[in-house]
Amino acid sequence: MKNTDLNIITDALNKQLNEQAIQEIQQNADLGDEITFAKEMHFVDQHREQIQMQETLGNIFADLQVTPDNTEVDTLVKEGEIEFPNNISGGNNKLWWLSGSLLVILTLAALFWIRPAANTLTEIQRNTLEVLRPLTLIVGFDLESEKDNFSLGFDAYDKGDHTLAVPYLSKYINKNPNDDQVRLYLSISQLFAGNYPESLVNLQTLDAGKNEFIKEHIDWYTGIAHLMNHETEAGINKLRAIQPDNIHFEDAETLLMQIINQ
Amino acid sequence: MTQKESIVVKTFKTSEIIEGISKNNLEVLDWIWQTYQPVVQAHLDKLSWTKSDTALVFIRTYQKIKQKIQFNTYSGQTSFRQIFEERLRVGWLDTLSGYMPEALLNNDSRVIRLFTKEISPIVWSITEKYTGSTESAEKIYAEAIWRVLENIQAGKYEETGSFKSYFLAVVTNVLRKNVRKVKREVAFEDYLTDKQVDDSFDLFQEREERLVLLEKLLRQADEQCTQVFDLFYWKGHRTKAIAQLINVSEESVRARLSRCRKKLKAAFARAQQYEVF
Repeated sequence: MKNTDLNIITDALNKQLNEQAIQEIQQNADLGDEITFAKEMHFVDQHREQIQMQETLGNIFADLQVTPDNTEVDTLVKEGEIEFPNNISGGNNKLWWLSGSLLVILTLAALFWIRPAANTLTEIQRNTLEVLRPLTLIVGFDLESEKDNFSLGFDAYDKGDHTLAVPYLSKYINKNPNDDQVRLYLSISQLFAGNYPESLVNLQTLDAGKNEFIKEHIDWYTGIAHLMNHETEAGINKLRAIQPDNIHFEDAETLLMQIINQ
Repeated sequence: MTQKESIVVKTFKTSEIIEGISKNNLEVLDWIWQTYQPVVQAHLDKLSWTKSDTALVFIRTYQKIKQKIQFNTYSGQTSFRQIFEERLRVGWLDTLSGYMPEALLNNDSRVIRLFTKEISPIVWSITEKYTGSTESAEKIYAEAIWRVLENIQAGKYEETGSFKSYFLAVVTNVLRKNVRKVKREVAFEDYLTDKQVDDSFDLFQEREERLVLLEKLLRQADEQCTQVFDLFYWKGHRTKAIAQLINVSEESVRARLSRCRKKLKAAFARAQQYEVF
């Protein structure tokens, strides 16, 4: 092989030649064959581990008979471990109309139901809402690079749109049930969105003993969730458990005084 | 009363066990551990699993049973032993999942084989739901593994949740992409003109055997060849620069490149002709 040919191959691999030039060279049978071979060598090197993995899988599948396990998949879907769209093959229009109509009805019902409920807040709930602040966001997210539930949830949280944050963060938690920190943020969003029982379930799921960050905030938000859920005694007990070195201690004391003075 | 008569072996009805699990009854939990720990151990022994994971697999199995009760996916018709044995498979898969990121990086075929055996029925079922058949399941599985490995290598995988859930999410993404692709009838692109990661697997599928063979031959190439190939093809150095780097004449580098490539191509042709590998 001539030196110039070797350099042409290097230039082709390094994209220093434009596509037209590469095509012209490839029409020359000898050199075209060389470039194809060189490209494959290049590809093999770039993906060496994956190619070895493919070989491993090839050996595994050579003597593996697989029968689909539909029951387990149904269980995984029911338990929220995997998401499975209902409209895989283009969707069922009738079902879409039905679910769309149902959504509209539910939204209207919720609007009519929430409005009077908001006016009938108890004194304790009003006091509690006055001291309720979202926890400063310390979880990093990059919305530009990752348009996933995690980023979309925290983007909404950051903007104070907790009603929007809840479904995204819930989906994330379904997939990552052990991410306690995100679960705490989800429960705070649920508090702001008025989903008190759901918030309590999430707060009670958190294991305060393990994570310092959770430990700092758990009693405060659990106390608030109890109070908003009309569980005054449980709420007071949680607020009383907050120690003087806790960031929420002063707020808790103020709220307790207000409740006791009523 | 004899000693034999004084030993009272506590037993529970299935309904009592189910209730005990949902109420976190420690007596029930202890009884399940005492009774079913040998079952877990026997399962691991059968797989020649040498790691001491009995307790871990037991806990995961227990969690899975609890989850089943919470989500009402337990029919209530089967015996507890049947439930345990059925969930043991899932508990074992979850435990195994924990070893997968490292196994993928090290190409640990034993762990990958065990994981594949357990999870493939799920992947096959998901593929069938998406595409209407299991025909492409093996390809989907391989592509998902490929992508996961790339993500692990690129540091994009974080061990915050379960690997199993992460892997199944990748599988559904691959399926979604493939379904969209079939709809749009997108043609394959050359990997050097469009080196998107998404396309690399497609290219690989097209030339799988050829590339696997080439990889094996490259692995067996002698040190001199590996050195010049590495500098010339992968790192893109000119022959003059390589000559300076390895302290030989430029002429010698050119000769070595030419000789090595001839050897490799000849070995490649021979291997293809006689199916050496």
